[in-house]
Amino acid sequence: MANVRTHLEQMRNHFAPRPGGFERLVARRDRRVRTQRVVAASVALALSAGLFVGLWNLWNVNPMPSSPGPGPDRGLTIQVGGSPVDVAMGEGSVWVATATDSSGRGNVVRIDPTGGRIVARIPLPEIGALTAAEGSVWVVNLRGGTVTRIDSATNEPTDVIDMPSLLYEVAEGDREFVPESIQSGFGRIWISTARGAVASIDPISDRAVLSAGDPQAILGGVATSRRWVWAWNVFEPPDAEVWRFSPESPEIEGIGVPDVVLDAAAGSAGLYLLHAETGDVSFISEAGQHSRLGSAGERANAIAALDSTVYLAAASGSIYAIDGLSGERRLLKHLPQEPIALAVAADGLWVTAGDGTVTEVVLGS
Amino acid sequence: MRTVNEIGRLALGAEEFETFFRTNEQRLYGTLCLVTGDSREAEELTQEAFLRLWERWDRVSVLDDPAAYLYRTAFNLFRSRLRRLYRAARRGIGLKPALDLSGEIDERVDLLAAVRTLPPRQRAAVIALDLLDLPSDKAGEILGVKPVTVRALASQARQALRARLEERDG
Repeated sequence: MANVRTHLEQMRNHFAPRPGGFERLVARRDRRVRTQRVVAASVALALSAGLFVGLWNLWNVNPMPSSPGPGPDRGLTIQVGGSPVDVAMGEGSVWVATATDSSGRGNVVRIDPTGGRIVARIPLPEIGALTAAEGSVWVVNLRGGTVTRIDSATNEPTDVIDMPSLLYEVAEGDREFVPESIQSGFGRIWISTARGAVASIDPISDRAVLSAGDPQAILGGVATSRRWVWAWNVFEPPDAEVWRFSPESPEIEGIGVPDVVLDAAAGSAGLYLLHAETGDVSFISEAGQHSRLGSAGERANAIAALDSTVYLAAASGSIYAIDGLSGERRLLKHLPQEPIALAVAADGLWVTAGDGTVTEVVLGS
Repeated sequence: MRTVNEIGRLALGAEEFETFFRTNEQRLYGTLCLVTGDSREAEELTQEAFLRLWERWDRVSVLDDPAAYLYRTAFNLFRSRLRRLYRAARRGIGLKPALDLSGEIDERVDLLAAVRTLPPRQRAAVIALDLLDLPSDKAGEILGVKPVTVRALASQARQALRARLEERDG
């Protein structure tokens, strides 16, 4: 042990920070104070400009994407290959984003949920989180700072959409919106960045605009419920917070939560939060009331919600359903591999795992 | 409008903070280099942790151990970013570490490479216990796990590092 400690100390002492650290800190502090003032005014202006578009899209609300119908109790497991990073349901299919190497290249694999057949493999130079809606599949390109649009009718990429620049700098000269999470709702595609902002894409023009931002926030994801767009930060209490805002309004309401949020999913009545190490689930209603709901009882990796039921993928491989009203937990299935992501619609729940598989969990089983 | 006394106190506080910064910057930065495996990430976390402390300096400066608060803040920020990176890493999108090892002697490169291959939680645990000399309950608070988990993670890390040392020396 002494050897290890000695070597660690030697290694630590080797690393020297760049000169001028305090001067950079002063500049960082001054920048933050300035941009906080700018953000307050500019976000209001940007959201007002987007108000007409938001109202137009609400007036012309698209129906929910078609969900795969109920199927027989098959418990299909399909090998999609690579390292699955995300799964989404919509446009009549199951879509799996899978990385083929550590550079970020990968495939979007399209699966027919009624037969479990792989319908298409769509190669992309960069793979990330995805969502299926508005006639397309939308894939985040984290490194590229863009979103790729794939036409669900042809399985062909039709556009690579640039994210807007942030209204503030996160480092000197750096205003890049690095997209991470993506979700559909209110006729738009919503994207969040850990750099504290949410943007949305109009699927008619393929134009992305900023919706909300805070240079001090580190956002973990975005979701949409019946009335609200939601985003959450990754901070510890007392700074742990969930945002909600209406797509037509520039006002962000911050709701403090008592535990770190790992992931969240919107159901019919509000937002369900998965808390980091405990697997606990809490709930924020559409009215903004927070309450504890239940728990996986173990560390969980991902959450999904359908109506008033929450689905959790535990690190152990257990897939749980938690009743959104009573908090009662039910084990649905146990997978042999640690789950990565899950998606749910109607009677179908699909879970990706690190062994390159995606598994169907038939609801009601 | 601030009074002369308040301005004087603020000025003294700013000087005290600058001294605190210069005293602790290298140690924190070096620790975070080991924890993150990425010099850019380490610099970002160092700056952010100090900034948060500075924003609360009137309360932090009167604590028994402001440096402990600094490290706790830095580790909390690291954990927050780690959760993002963990999800990105699990998605197979490698955010490759960018630690500059130019001019390193061989043995340090080997061990540093070994440290970098440790899972992040093992890395943070062994650094918290062995480098920062934190008791396991404090380390557990900072890392957000139980003390017994910290000890287990650190033990796993030490075994891996010792094996690397023995391999190199053998």
